[in-house]
Amino acid sequence: MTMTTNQERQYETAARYMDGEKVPLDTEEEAIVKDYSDDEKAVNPKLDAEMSSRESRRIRKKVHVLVRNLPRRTLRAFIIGLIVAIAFLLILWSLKYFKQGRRFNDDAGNQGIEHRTGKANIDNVD
Amino acid sequence: MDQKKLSRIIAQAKAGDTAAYESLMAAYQARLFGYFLRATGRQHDAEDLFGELVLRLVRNIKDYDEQGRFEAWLFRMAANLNRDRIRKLKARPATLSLSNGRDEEKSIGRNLPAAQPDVDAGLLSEELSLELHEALARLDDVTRDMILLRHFGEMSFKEISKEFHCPLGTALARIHRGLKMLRKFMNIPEGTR
Repeated sequence: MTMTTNQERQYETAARYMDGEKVPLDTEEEAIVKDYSDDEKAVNPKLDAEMSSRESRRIRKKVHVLVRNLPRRTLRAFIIGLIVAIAFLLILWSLKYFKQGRRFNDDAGNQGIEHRTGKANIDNVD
Repeated sequence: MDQKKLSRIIAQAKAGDTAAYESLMAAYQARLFGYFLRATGRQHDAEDLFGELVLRLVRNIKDYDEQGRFEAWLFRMAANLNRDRIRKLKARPATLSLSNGRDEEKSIGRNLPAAQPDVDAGLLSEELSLELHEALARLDDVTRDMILLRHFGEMSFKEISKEFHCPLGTALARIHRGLKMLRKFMNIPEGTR
């Protein structure tokens, strides 16, 4: 919906008036206010949603349960967060030791080859 | 609820008093539930959103600075929840509708044997005017939300224009056009109040 600058200004003044500001209205702005009020008064009663007492009670009970269970929910979220954090740290720690262990094995393996090679050379001398 | 009492309850809620939350929700329950019911058109969706709102209220009440109206703040949160719901619905993969709009005879749903009656359909016919629900569904998401926030949240045009990031005049023009469309879809004649 595109409006001219003049229409935009008229609607803005009408909106400010309906928001409670004391702004003078010209005849066109008055017509907008009247037309809008008519439409609002015709549609608003249809929008209202009546709540039965049973529904109202059920909603209130739901709010009660939600609010009362909040500390438990917070505690549960904290415990889950803690478990996830510990698991993550364990994975990081095990990765670190896995790498260290591999380096150790590699070093030991290399030493073994050197040892065997040395022995082989000695054998050759003999 | 008068401003003094409201400020006291908000302060209690900020201090972690669970009874204060219940008082707050009890005060706005009917209007918030009405907003969710009209926005979703489904009773259980409205209840779910209402429950989610309670949790958000508890999480965010510390951020409420008492400068603006509490109602507007609360309904802004409700509108955000509703927007998130619409976004999730749109992100879902497209499904084939069992009731193919107005062409009821050709609809797939009509030819399938009904195992159980639709619970929502009963509720809708009882308490939510199907005509109104259809009329609201024909409006675009923003216009519908603006109308509902104006009615249930009693938001001013200034608050609505701020919420939807549009000029003040545009907010009024959009709501006005939406109301006219609703009137037309529901066949409410001129001069009816």
